[in-house]
Amino acid sequence: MKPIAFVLVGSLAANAALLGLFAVQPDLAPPAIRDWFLSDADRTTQQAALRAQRDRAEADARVAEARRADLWSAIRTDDVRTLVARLKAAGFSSALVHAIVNARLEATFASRMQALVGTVGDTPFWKPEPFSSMSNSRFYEAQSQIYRDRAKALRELLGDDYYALGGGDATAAQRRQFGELPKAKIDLIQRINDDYNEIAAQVRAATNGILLPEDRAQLALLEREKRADLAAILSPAELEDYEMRSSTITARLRSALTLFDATEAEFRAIFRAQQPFAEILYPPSVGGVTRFSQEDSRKRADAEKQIADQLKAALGEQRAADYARASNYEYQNLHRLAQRENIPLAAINQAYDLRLTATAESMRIHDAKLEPAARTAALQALAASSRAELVRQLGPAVAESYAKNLSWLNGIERGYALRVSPDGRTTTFMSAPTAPKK
Amino acid sequence: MKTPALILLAASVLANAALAWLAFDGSSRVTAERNASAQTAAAQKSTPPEAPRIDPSTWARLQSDDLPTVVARLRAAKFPPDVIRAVMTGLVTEQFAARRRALDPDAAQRVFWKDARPDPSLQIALARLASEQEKTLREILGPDALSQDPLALARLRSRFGPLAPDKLDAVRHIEADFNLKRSELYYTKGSYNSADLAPLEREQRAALAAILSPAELEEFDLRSSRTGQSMRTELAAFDPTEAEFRAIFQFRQAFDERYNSSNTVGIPSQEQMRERSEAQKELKAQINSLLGAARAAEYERATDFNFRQTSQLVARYELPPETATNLWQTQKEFERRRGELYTAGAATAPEQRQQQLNAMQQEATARVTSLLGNASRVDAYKQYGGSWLQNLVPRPAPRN
Repeated sequence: MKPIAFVLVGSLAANAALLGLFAVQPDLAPPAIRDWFLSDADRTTQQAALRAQRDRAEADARVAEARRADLWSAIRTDDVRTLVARLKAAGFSSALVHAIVNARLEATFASRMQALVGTVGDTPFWKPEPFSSMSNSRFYEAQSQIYRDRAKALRELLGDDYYALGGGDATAAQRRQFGELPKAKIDLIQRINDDYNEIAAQVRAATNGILLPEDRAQLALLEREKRADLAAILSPAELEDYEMRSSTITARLRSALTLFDATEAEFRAIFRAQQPFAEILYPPSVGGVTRFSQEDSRKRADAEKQIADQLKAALGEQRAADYARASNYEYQNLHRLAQRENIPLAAINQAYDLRLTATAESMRIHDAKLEPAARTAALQALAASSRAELVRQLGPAVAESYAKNLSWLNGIERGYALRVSPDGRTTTFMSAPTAPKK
Repeated sequence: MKTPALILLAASVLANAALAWLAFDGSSRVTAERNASAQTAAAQKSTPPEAPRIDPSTWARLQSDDLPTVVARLRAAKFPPDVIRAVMTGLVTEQFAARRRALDPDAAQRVFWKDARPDPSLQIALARLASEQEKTLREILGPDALSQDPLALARLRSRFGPLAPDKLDAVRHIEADFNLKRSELYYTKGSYNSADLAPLEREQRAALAAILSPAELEEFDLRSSRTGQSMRTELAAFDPTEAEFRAIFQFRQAFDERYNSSNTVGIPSQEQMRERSEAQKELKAQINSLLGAARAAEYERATDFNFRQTSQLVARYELPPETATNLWQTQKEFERRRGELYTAGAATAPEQRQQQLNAMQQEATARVTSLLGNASRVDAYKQYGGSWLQNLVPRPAPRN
């Protein structure tokens, strides 16, 4: 045999051997040609194996998807502080962390609320409304305490993010309430407020709708003690600034200050004039109702006069008069009605000032000692001309809405003469003089 | 012969090389697969259950600009309903924040001593936006949008009675719509009275009548109508039975519809006052006839505002309940005597009458003090039901 033939036979034999190996062990063959080496039995076995493999892969994918899908199980925890950390780690925004944690706290406090509701839940409809602060101050205060405790827990959990809610600017909200105070001082203020609010709530709950002088004294004492505690942690300037932001005085004056367009200096002057009389002007109330004795009313009148005098000195005559007008509820109402119709301020002021000329004229008619029929006719004519003047200044729609609850105009129309106090707060009705007895 | 043999040999050797490489590659692959499989099996056997690891992309995987998609993902990810509601409320609020800012771009700059929302048009626009936001949340979440706060649910039950959940939901939607209308009215007018509200109340009742059965509507009226609500307060000291409350309600509702709603604008005319007074007498007669003499007397006393206040004060001082009745009788006695003084002594000089009234006031104060226990309680009584004590003596007129 020639050498070439010998090598060729050897090579062919090697090829046959390698193909034989693939036939014996098809796994070694490339997947594309593996089928060539499979017997029918092998092919069945192989297909079953492939199916099993595919099933396993699908099952694994489902498990992975389920793991991915059950994202909440990775976050959930009964410990709310851990929940905050996990939500932040999971990429939730501050506002969403706030919302979620608040919801979880609501669930946590639900049992307390449920227990409280259970005390009145079965109240039938023919008994007094059980949830009203007027008829059930105990319930109202207990409910308020639960909300306060929840807010406190939320504040402690969230820190600065407590103010992050509703897509608003958290810093701006915090600044409006606390100015530029550092975080540590804000925390202390909130702790002091929490403590005193809780005690005050207990006092209010015990009143059962009747605020006795001793309750008022107790609430006033609590206010003074709270102020002393605040003074211990804040500098005098910080305390004044915080009080200006948080005080009932500011809340009650806001509408007037807005209409008056007060500068900061004017606001501070008005606040300082009011503050010493806060207990007299804004006494504590139960269920939103404040009762004034005759003595209280006298003290209020004195206080208001002193404040008005101080404001004349601090703001000047004209601005003090502007402020007095802006403080009048009737003027605020007129302004609101007129503002929607873009009525100029001068016309609003003239329409408001009509009360002074009209009531003065009504007193002139009253003093003229006319016969009853003539007196009534004169007053009704005055009312008609006043109404026409309102329409001229304000237009028919605004004039009608404004005049609807205008006591001085209604009074003149019904035959009363009226006198309005210089500050515009009180109106005295003068009925027709009684005919002398014969 | 030589050339074909050489070609065949070359092809066979190449085939040798290719087959040998495939066999080697196959062997390596099989080994690698077996090793990987063995490692996976070993790993599955040896790894303990994982502690929850927070994936920082969790929120990114849930997030979408399409809010219903977010809800679907949160539900699939097994977030509980209260958390889904919180998340969606937060997202909807954020989504509406841009529109709020557009309506009121100066909000963040507004100084703290002025109103946060000084313009009524802005208040109305913001109220409408808030209502739209609430509706959006309802559309996205369906029934899950409703808070499960026990107090909110108890208030609802108290207002609407035992309604089926779907009806309760529908009623809440109607309420929300009309609350918005009331807000708009308030912001437009600065205040409102019963005459302003009357058309809205009629409209709201018609909307409720369309979804409630007559019996359900009656239950709602008893609990939440203006008449029902004021009766619950006024009859507190009367302690009515259910039957008494229902019967009185029928008379009161008719009276209130005529005289305590749309006709009460400003100061009523003499004619209106006379008509109302006549109707009031008729109402009283109807209730007297319904209750019988003894119970009617209790009703008259218990529904007097001053008596209710006095009852509360007496309870606050933990005095016997009959003290309130004794104080009421004292009030009636002195008011009668005062009237007699004016009738009998019409010709009495003003100074002399003033003296008589002062003496009467002192006597009354002494009686009240003895009933209440001490003088400081009399001061509280003057504020809670006892104003008559001060009114026994007329205040001097300012000028007449």
